[in-house]
This record gives sequence, structure tokens and C-alpha cells, in this order.
Amino acid sequence: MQKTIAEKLTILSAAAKYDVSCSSSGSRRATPQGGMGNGASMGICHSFTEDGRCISLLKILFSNACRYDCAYCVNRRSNDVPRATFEVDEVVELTLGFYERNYIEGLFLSSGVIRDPDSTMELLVRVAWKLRHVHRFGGYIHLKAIPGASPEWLQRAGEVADRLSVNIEVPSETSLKLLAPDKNYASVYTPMNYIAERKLEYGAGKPSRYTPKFVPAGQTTQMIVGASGESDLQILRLASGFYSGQHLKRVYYSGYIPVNEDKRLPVVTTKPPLLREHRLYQADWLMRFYEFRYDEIVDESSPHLDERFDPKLGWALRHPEFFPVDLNTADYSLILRIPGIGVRSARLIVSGRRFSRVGLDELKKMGVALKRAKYFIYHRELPIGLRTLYPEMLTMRLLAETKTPLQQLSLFDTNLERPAVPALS
Amino acid sequence: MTLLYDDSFDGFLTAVFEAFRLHLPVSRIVSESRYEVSLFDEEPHRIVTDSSSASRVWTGIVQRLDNDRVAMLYGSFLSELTGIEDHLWKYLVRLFREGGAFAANPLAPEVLPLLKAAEAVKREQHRFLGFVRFQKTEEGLLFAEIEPQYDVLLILVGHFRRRYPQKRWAIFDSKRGKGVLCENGEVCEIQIPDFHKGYQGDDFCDLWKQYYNSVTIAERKNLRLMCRELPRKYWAHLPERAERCPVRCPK
Ligand code: SF4
Repeated sequence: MQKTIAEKLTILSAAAKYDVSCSSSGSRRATPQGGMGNGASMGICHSFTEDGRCISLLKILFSNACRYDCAYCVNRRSNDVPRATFEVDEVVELTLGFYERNYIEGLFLSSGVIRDPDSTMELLVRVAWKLRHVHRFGGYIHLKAIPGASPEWLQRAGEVADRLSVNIEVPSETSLKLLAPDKNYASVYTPMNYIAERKLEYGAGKPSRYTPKFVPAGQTTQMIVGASGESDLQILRLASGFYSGQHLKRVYYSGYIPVNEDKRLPVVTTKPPLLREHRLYQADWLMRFYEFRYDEIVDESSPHLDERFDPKLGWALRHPEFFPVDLNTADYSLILRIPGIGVRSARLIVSGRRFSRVGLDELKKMGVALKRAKYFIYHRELPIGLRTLYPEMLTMRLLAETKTPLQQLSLFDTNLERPAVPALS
Repeated sequence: MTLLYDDSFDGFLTAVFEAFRLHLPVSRIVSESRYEVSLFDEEPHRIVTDSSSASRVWTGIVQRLDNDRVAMLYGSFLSELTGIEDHLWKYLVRLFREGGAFAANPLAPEVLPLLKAAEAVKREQHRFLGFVRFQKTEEGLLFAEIEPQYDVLLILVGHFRRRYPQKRWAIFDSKRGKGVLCENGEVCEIQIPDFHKGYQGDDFCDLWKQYYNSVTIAERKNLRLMCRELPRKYWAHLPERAERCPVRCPK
């Protein structure tokens, strides 16, 4: 029996929800002549689910009737779950109807592998093509590059999409072979490298308004955390390589939620490692906006992030020699490393200190949370005894003050690709 | 001396103009709707809005500041915070006395309060780019009702005009009783929303609510985070949350 569009929507959105990316940023596409929709480069969240995640895009699978059998996935062949497959026009209609009511920024379309990677990729491209060329739709389109899809289809996908993503899912090749027997690293890296190279080619020369666009918002990937035994060091090293090697816009970390009974995986009653995931997002944030290298955050001697502290505080405690920092003379990059001081405050400090001294009072007025920062800043009122930082003492004190932040995991899948920063000279 | 103006930005600029022209010893500038009579106050002075005086002040501002700072001034005015006009007044006094150089210091006492107010307004404006919900009436009009904390309506218009150039749409701020209607790219202000009937929804609205429910991951439920990102004060006009208003946000 044919399913209604509402039934399909329920099945195929629930099946897509474990892909955590929902960002709509990075595209400045203008509204097409005679059409509707444009890109808002900072990204816009339209709603938030009860798990606190941003809803920016209509995130659905085209089909969950997958031929593959990846251990960690609800849609794997061996699971007995309701299956559904959209028609191209149904997805188009849903996207346009949601978009004009301002429910969404656009579409994030992925799919299980229906027959083979290429014919699946073709369906995704047909949806996007129809939106762009028949309906003159300028809203955001994120397509999943199906692992193993050929360059021809990736090329076509890149011409209509704002963003492409290939999920690596498992952070090491050995685990991937074990958990996803139909995939291998090549099926992930080949499309990723292809997209990266094509994007560079398109960006070369003088881009003008008339230069055709190729994935203007770049590509992203996702790693599942806690399904296999990789350390945070392995994960962050991989992520750092994606940022520099493939120029990925973002790497997402998805704390594994046990959906399948499978002896290769943690048991179904395992709680998702939300705190670890949160620390990874913080570490990732440090690499992208705070000029940290991955090996400053974790290394062979401590390959796991300290769950008690955010990684920035952790770094500061391991490096007392940099503190306390004098806000009136220190480099911007060192000010950025002070725990509790974000990009916004660091910028305010650097522009403000040209006019007058910046002390604790000024920080307070700016709205800087001094709870952390005060231990790491040099100021006149600082008693002589505190002018050297004793990590052992501080650790105890901070531990007593810190509550487990589980309830406030804030970096998780925020739509932001960069911190909000005031416009200042 | 206390100056009263009629709530509009032009009104405020007129007050500034008069204060400079007549060398008034200004102690406060307050909008009429926010003015509270107190026993000890002297009689306030009512300013009659005059758009040519207002635009002379505006021109003076624009000549002395770059676009970002001009936007900051206007944004902070939209915050409607108590006393924001006095901060603006001090800023403008300094601006017209010594030029715009001091404005580069975000920590200057004239600058910081405005900067913070403008940031809060900008944040809400950005939120509403996402939180405006149109319902489609039978005549094809897209209609949305909002109740923002700050007066962000007019700074939302440009975004939707660019996004839906072919559509007829209207946004009505029911807290302030004013709205805008956009047709063929032309925007006009509307006062009485005769098509306002509350959220009735249509097929897509039902699909949207269904979608909203099915993408939640139960194992990750985190109401506190949701409530921080999507504060309760906005729920009434969001179909996906309107029916859940009894849910309490954890402290
Ligand atoms: S390919 Fe693997 S991860 Fe993707 S839908 Fe199929 S089973 Fe799931």
C-alpha cells in the first residue's frame, strides 16, 4: 500500500535525525530572478527540538530502504523497521511549502543506498535540480554524497547544492571495516578529495557573480563517538587533518546512541557519551577559532580530553608559565587563551586598551564572566602571592566550583560556524 | 529639564535637535509611553516631532560615523530600554562636540551601554529571522504575528523582502500594534490587521508539527538547553510549540 506524504515524512525524518549536522551557513546565494529563497551566510535556526538542537533545514532521507548493513545504523538492511521512499516531487513540494512559511532555511537530503551509490545519488541530484531550475529556488540545499558515488554525479551534485557531506562515521579504518562491511575508507575519502579539488578549481581565477558556483558552503563530515574504541587524540587528529587537507567547513561529532543489539557495539543500555561529545566540540571550537593545534589539546601522554574541565582551561592548567596574562600588553592570541575570555571579549579588550587601561572593572562592564578568568589575569589588585599560578591549588578550587555542565551543552550542533563577534575596527 | 517625545526615532532626533538649538539643560529624554510622572519632577517639555529637524541630526550623525556605528546607534534605540535615550544623548553630545574618534573605544562610558543594548537587539533580530512563522491564507497572503521583546519589526523587513520577492506577506507585531505588508516588493506599514485571526494552520502546518516531533532524539532530551535557545516567551506564535505552553522550563 502506498504511504501518505505525512507517513513518509515521519519515517524518513526520524531516520535522518542521527545525522547531527543541521547548519545552514556559508551560502550567499542571491534570490533567483522570478524565484524564492536565498542564502543567509551566518545561518539561521528556525526552531529547537526538545533535545536542544537547532532546526534549520528540512532534514530527511530520500529512502531508508538501504542495501547496506552498517552495524551502528537504524536503517541497516538487517533491521526490521518500517521502510519508505519518497517521490522526487514529494520532497520538492515539502521543501517549498515549508520554506515559504519560514519553517526552514532549506533542505538537507540524504538517503540509504537504494540500488547502488550512483542511482541513489542521482535521485538526490534530481530533487535539487528540480528545486533550482524548475522552481527557481535559492534556499539552502545540503546533499549527502553517498559513499562510493562516481565523480560525474558528485560534479552534478556540487553544481546544485550549497553544501555536500560525506560522513566518515567511524574514526579508524579497522573499525570501519568491522562495523560497516560494505564501506571502506576509500569510499569516503575519494568523494571528499574529489569535492575538495573541484572546489579549489572553481575558486581559482577571479570569481565573479557569473562564475558558476560549486558547493559554495563547502563540505562537512560526521564521526560517531563511542561506538568503537578510538581515543580523543585519534579523533581530533583526524578532524584536524580534514580541516587542513580537505578544507572541510566542519566536522560533527555524534555521541553514539545504541540503536541496535550487536555484539560489535556497546550494549543497548549504554548511555550516549554526551559529555565526551561536548568536550570534543569544545576542542574543535578551539582549533577553528582560538588558534589551537590539536596536539596542544591532547597528546600521546594524555590521549583523552579531561571530562572535568573544558579543554581550554585544561591547557591553561598545564601551562602555568603563560599566566597571569597582562591584558594591556599581551598579544591578541594569548588573550584568546585565557579561560573565560571569548573571541568577543578578546576583541573588545584589544580595541579598548588603545584608549585606556583595561582592568577588572572594565571586564565586568563588558560582561566577561570573571569566575574563571580572574585566576589567569594580571591586575594591580592581585596579591603578590597569586602572581605565580599554582595549577595544583587552582585545580582543586576550580573543581569545587564547577558543576557538571551536562545540562548546558551549548556548542552541540549550534548553527554557528564562527562565534558572534561585535563589529569593531 | 526632561524632554518628552512621541516614541518614534524621528521624535527622539527632534528632541536632540531642539536641545542643541536652544541649548537646553537636558537632564532626561523620555518617550511619552515610558514616562512616569513623579511628584518631584519638574514639568516635562513636550517635543513636537519634525522630520526635517530629525533628518538634520541624522545627517550630522551619518557624516561623523561609519555604517556599523550608525547601525549600533539605531539598534540601541530599538531596545526601548529604560534610560537608553540618555545614553544616546550623552553619546551624541560627545559626537557633535569632538567628532567620532572616541566611538572606536568600545569601553568608553558613552559607548559600552549602547553597544550592549545594540547587541541584544541584534540577537533578537537574528532570532526572529528564524522564528517568524507565516500561515498562508486562502487568498495566498502569508501572514505572521510576532511579539518580540525589542522593536525589531522594521529591521526584519529587508530580509524577507529579499527572500520572497514574488510573494504577498505581512508581519504584525501584536505587542506594539503595528505591522508591515509587502506586495510586489513594496512595503507599507499597516495598523489594523483585519486578516488577523490567530494561528489556524494549514496542511503544511500539521506536517511541520509532525516533523518537529519526529526529529527529537529522546535519549538526548535536554529541556533546559531548548528553553535557553528558544525562550518560552516566543512559543505562543510558533505552531510547533504553541500547544506545549504548559511545559515548564527547568531553572
Ligand atoms: S549505508 Fe550504512 S549508514 Fe548509510 S543508511 Fe545504509 S546502513 Fe545506514
